[in-house]
Amino acid sequence: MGLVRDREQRAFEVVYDRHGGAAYSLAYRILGDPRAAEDATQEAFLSIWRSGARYDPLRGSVRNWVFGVVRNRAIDALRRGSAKRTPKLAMDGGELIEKQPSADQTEAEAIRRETAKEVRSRLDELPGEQSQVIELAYFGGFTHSEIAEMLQMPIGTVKGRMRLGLEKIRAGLAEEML
Amino acid sequence: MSAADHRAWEEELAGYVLGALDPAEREAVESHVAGCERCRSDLRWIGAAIEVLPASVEPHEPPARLRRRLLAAVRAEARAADATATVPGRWRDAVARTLRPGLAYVAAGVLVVGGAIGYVAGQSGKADETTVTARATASAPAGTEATVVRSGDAGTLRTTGLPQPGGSGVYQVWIRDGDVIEPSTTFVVDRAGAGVAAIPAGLESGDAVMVTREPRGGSDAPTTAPLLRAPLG
Repeated sequence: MGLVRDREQRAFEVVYDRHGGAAYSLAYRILGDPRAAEDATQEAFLSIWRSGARYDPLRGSVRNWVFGVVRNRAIDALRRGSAKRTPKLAMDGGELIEKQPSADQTEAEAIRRETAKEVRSRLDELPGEQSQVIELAYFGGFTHSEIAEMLQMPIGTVKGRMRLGLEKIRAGLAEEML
Repeated sequence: MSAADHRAWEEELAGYVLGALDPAEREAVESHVAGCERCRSDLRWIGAAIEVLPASVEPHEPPARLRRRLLAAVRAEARAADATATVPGRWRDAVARTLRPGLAYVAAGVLVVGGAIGYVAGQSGKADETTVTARATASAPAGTEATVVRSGDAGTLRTTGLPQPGGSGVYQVWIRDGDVIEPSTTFVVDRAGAGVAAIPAGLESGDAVMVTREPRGGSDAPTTAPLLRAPLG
């Protein structure tokens, strides 16, 4: 049994090394707290280890599978109240950035930083009211009705803005692929 | 279905991929999509937009201890678990896609050979495991039960009946050796009250496994009364 166990453990190790940093960053973005992000990432990867058989390569990349599990764990943690559930929008994103000494930044991290910056600049092109509802849902874990109540607007407006924002993001992706 | 009806479903699909629906709405979408090719196609299209969002996040380096803890837990689970039932056999797909997306299926095929050999070899491999039943203390809710499946120095604790820790809490495993109590892994329980914690080491030297409720991230020493005790004899 050692052979297959070794293979599976190495596979897990590779997946963590490739995606663990981005996964932790996503949890940090959602929870805004390093210890809570660490707990959520640990729970997510253990769940991934235990349910590796549920990964279906036909349904998307490993990275997005990992992101989905981590987001769910982080949002669960938010809802359990293990981190303060307050909206964190793009406009206050700069305050959330943990300043790290440049010497500590690995090359991979520098690339991730650059990629994140490029992607954020594309998201910044969205009208503010569209990116606002998208971020509240995806990073804040808020439902349509919670967002409508928070922003004091009809739920139909929230739904419409979400759809329009996602359509613009998607259209931008399609253009890049041409 | 009219164009207006479809527009309404399109808006629901946006909420669906963003996780913004309540459970009843989510079920309604899934039920509709199952029978609507147009919405399935739209879901695939709009779903790709979500992939951009995690990539926009400012990178943070996870602490090195997280990797150490995860790998220790995985090693312990792999040793202690029933190999044929719990080895996640399709990990080969995940790692193949991670390493070489364009060659996923070729790589998966190569790894299948090793997996098949392992499965055959694993049919007879539980001789060194022993199961210890834990005792719930007076501090534990009624109905709390747990077992520790030992394999050498490592093991797996499985609990039922513990409530979700709530607030900023987790459950933590401890190994007691006389007067010394060493911290082990932390875990949470699912909505049904079931929890699993890998114990990477310490069972051969310890005389009991204990579980307490602790603040998130765990503690260096127990801060609450034990809920469970499993003697290690």
